[in-house]
Amino acid sequence: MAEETKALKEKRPAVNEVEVQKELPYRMMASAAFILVMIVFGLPLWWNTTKVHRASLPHARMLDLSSRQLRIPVLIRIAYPPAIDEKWVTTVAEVLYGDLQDLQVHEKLKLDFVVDNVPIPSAAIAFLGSTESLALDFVLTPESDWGRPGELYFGAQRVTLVRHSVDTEKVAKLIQTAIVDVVLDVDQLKTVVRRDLKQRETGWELATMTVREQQRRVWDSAALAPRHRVELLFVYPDPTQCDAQPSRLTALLKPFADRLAPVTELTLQSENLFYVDLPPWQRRDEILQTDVLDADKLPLIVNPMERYLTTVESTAPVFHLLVYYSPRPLTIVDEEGDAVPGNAFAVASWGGLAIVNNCSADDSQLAAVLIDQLRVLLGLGSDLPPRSSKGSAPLAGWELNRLASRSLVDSALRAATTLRALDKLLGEIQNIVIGEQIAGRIEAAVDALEQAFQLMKDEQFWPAVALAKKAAELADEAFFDPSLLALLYFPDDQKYAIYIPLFLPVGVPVVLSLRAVVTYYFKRKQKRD
Amino acid sequence: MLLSVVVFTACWIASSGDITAVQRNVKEFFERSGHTNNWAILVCTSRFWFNYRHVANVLSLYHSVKRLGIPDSQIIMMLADDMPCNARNPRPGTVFNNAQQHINLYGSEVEVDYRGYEVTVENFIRLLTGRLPSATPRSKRLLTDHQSNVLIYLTGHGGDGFLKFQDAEEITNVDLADAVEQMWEKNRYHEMFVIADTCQSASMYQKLYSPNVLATSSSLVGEDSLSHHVDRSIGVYIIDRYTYYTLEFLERQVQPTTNKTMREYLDSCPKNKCISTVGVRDDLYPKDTERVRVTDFFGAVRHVRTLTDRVVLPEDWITDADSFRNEQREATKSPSQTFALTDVKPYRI
Repeated sequence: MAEETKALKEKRPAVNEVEVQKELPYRMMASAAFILVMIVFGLPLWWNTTKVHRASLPHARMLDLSSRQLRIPVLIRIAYPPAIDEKWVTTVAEVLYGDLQDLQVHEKLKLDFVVDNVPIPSAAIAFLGSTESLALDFVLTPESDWGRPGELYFGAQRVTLVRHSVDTEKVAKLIQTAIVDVVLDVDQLKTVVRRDLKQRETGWELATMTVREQQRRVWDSAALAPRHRVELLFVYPDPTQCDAQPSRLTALLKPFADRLAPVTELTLQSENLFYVDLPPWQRRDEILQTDVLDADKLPLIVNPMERYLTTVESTAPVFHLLVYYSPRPLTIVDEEGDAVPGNAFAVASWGGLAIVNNCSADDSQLAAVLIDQLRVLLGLGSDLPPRSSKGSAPLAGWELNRLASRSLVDSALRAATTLRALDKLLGEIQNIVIGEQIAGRIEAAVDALEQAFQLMKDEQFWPAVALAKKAAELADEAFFDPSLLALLYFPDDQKYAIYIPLFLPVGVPVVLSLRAVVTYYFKRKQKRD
Repeated sequence: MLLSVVVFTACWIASSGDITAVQRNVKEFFERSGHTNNWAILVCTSRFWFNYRHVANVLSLYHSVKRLGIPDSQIIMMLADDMPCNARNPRPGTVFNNAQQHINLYGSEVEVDYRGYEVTVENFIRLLTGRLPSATPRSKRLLTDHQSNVLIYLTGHGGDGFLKFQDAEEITNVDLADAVEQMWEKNRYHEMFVIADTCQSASMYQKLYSPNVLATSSSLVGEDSLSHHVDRSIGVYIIDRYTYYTLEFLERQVQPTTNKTMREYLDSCPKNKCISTVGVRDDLYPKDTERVRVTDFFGAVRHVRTLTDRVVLPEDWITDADSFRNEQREATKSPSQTFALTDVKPYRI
């Protein structure tokens, strides 16, 4: 038995050898076919199922936009009644133009001024035609018609009245101050540019700032979002004494929101809070004979009130405007112990509080106070130069102009820097998926921004504001798109760790058969030779 | 040196004729901060009962920052496990950070924004970068701007270069640094303070490269961070040493209006108390920590201002308002519409 097996064993190779030799070409062909299938179907399949989808982006245009300088044409119109000599006005315009040429804003922002003289029939008709460009209107008013103190009056519309005097230099200087400090507020534009380029103030710059500059840095540099939510909260600590009344407040605030619409969209929501009271920090003031709330306590009032506020279903910035219906007289007093105007205050990036005494408020007065608070929160307040005054309009034309120019600079630069950041991010991380939707948004943002730049060049200020806003929104949407995170952190070693167990069992036989086929081929070739 | 700088500044300003600035500058020793709002992100990444102390760490800090003024809407708290309802908690519904058990950290008004399995690396990175799905509620979003100071506190189990989330995944220091850079690119913070209380936590801030970030850690690379004490009735360690001592400083010495400095905070857990070495990274932070208030990060500033303009509504606005309101009434067909108790009336104006 054992011998038989041994014999068989010795015999078998001899028999197999022949058969193996006979079979070999077929085996080699089978291997080659297997390899071919792997190469023709396997590899493309593997490649296509694992490759990262990256839609093409307009890189060059994105970078070009972020390196561009913003140039905003500003039209200055100086209107003058027949009582004022035309030549005199021309001299003023020339001096003014010369002074404004020296104005340096920022390397990224240039204002191209054009000064225009417009004769008008009478100083009383101080209304110049509307225009699509950024127009700053001044009306020279003869001394005889000037019925107010000071030398400058910032009106309710776009117009600023300037008191006429003989000295051309002086009048030119007046108009220049009005433009640089109030009507255009060049410093604030500079702040906006620096903020968007992330050029922070150094400690030294901060230390040497005046109180007023400090204040403006907090209040006027609030970033303008394309939309804001205004939460109007009526607080009734004791509804038995003070109950909710139907009010016209939202209707009274509507025109304000309408006028603001080209720059930012306000959405208003109102809510009544019953049996909610302010923290007990009121004290009795013997001089004023009422309960008072001290100015230094005001920052502490906000937090306890926070818990009563409902959340909103929006990511837009929210302003909470609290209206407190006090059952007994309550007055907010400043550090000197004087009652503050409007019996209200504003809290930066939060909102404000207004107190209504004795449960009754005149709707229009309360609306005026709320608008005042919104003005502070939106950075609409002005620091007037000496010897000047301003109208009491809720939103003057020149104020809207100024806000729009800030919005234009802000949106354009923000869109450009966002596009640059996106380009950098997507360039640095090669395995990030760029979906068609994101690519589409980026493309749209680039288009809108390029168009905005073109419109600025063509002196189409208001359309440019709208487009720049749209560009910034689209760029933000692309930047914050949730899909940009999907494969963000997927290092190569982890990739291999996943592929090797899949790839090795298939890859090893393929490589081995490839070797066998190649050796077979060369052996046969040798034999033939 | 510092004094001479101040005096020099004073003289320089005096020469420019701004006397009030001189007085203010001499009086004001602290650097001015340009922020108008404060945010805090408090993260506990550990599950399981024996990690009770990490939940206690975060909740303790939550109470401190809330007491110092950051509102709930601006605190984003991530708790990976629900210790108060853990079956092994002998006093259900409570979390303590001290064996004396005087304060229940899980008492009233605790708002946890991300809990349990929501605490993942992905969600944390999404939170920082703002790349959240559009349906995410406001409370789960970090809605900061260029005027926000952001405090990030991370606690859990860490190693050299990573912090473990949920025993299943980890965030690396590179991920954290890149996420912060994404915030900086989009101008979403004014200043940032990163605290990591884990083992080898100094490694968490090593890779940061964005400006205006100050970072500290409970231990250096190669060192373990240690826990403080056991509560025998609960049966586990209930707080970490670093958080225990820094909190002691915050709770005993810091009020919303006090002038304690960041330097004092960073020094509040010396080696003999912490046993590990507290690491500080301030090369990205331009200010001197001795001249920055603790409350710049742990508290909330409220810039308050009274109104200066006296707005008067034009006549036509008032008449328009009446007609607009009448239209509204007609539209809603309820002529005697009054406000209901929970009356929410959203409409666009």
